[in-house]
Amino acid sequence: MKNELKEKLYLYSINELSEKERIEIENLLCEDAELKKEYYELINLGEAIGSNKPSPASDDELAIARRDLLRSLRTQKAEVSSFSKFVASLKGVLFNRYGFAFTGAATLFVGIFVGYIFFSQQPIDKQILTDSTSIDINKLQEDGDTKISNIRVNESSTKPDEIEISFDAFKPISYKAKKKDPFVKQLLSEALLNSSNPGDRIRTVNKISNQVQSKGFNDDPKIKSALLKALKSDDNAAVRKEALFSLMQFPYDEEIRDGLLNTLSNDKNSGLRVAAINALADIKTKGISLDEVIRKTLNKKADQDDNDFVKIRSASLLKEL
Amino acid sequence: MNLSDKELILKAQSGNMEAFEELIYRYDNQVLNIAKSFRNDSDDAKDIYQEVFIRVYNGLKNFQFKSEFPTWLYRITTNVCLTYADKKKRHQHQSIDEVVTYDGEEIEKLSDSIPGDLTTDALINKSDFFKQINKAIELLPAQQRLAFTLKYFQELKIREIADIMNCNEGTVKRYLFTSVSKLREKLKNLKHEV
Repeated sequence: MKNELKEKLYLYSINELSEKERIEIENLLCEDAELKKEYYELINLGEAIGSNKPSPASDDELAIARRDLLRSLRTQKAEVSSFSKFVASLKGVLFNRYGFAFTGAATLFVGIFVGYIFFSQQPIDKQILTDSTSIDINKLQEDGDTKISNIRVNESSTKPDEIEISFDAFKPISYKAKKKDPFVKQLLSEALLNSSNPGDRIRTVNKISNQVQSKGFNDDPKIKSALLKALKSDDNAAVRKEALFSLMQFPYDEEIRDGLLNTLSNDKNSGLRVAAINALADIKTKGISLDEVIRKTLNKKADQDDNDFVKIRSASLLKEL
Repeated sequence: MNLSDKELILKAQSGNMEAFEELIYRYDNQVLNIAKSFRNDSDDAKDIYQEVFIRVYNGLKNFQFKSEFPTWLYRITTNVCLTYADKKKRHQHQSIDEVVTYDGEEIEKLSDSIPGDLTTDALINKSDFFKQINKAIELLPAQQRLAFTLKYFQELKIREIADIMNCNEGTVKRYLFTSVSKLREKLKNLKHEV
């Protein structure tokens, strides 16, 4: 059988011939048994293929595809718009005819300002004691726990019969007061932020955690600010985690939200990112609605994070929302 | 919103995201179904769907109404399907007549891996038969497979397929005839209970 005839027969079997060609093939089919056999084989194959048609996309599949698509588009749109705004504003400033003059003037101003700051710093006034009666040396020595260190002989002394010596005198102080005492809170904040020992910082943040439920503690802005700073920038993940848990006992507000979102977006520790998501979920279970800023961050995390669990957890929280 | 495609496109071109979403919802079912029937895999179909609409989103501002929107959309869909097939092929290196090696030793033609040694008396069950059909379809070259799936699974006319694939009707007829001939060749020794 000629190939051309086979092709026509095939097109006839799928109903793709013109009226004239169709009649021509039908006449041939009446006369040619081999052609008829070929035709039925094509019909059978067509039916078999047709009955093996893949199932159409379900509503769920479509909904998931739509959700993922819109998420990607929004992310892309946000990235493009913020970048183009920045470029446009930069162009606006730099590439109009006043731009060069403005840029020059701004650079000059910044230079003068930096120079002023740099050179105008006065040396810190240091108290110079000139009479042994003004400092009770014996008392310092009797205390025993006063430590004298960093003793330096200064060369700047002008008179030949005088000598100038500098030293640091440290005396540890124990301070015992009510929990609500403002100085206690100040000391705890200082310890959390400035202690070089991570163990001390963890103990401090634990202490804060224990106290934070009592009134006077969970509305203290210094404590809260110290916890937020620790959450954001402490080198030690355990301190950051403990700070996060403590903050969760404070009344929820935008500062806490931003702290949690900062952790979710920037913390290198995936456990902390998950802890931040869990904290957001807890906030939601308390009946507080999660706003658009949170949704946006969750969307971003559901899309891109090194850690799959963070992605899944973000997506599941989004779904709950 | 009950606007025409053109009105929605004009709105979307001026940055109206809602109009763009409405446009998606009008046609995305068909896009997903084309992708699904072409790849026969839900995840692949979702990837294709996403890629199609991101291209549409990025390209819509240049859409000048020289063709109908659905034609343009399905043309993008077919292009993405073909590109996707190329990408996959680069990873899989499969062709119906390609000679493949296993562990660098055994060599056989890929087409031989489709069981063709059953006699006409040996009836195989329906699901096996369909598996073989799917396998044979997967081994078709991408252009032929696309024409084939649009015809048999999306039930489009040859004229419509030519329009979407941006080629003439004769080419589509050839794709279809060749792909059906290949399928018949591969399946000729199989018999199934229908």
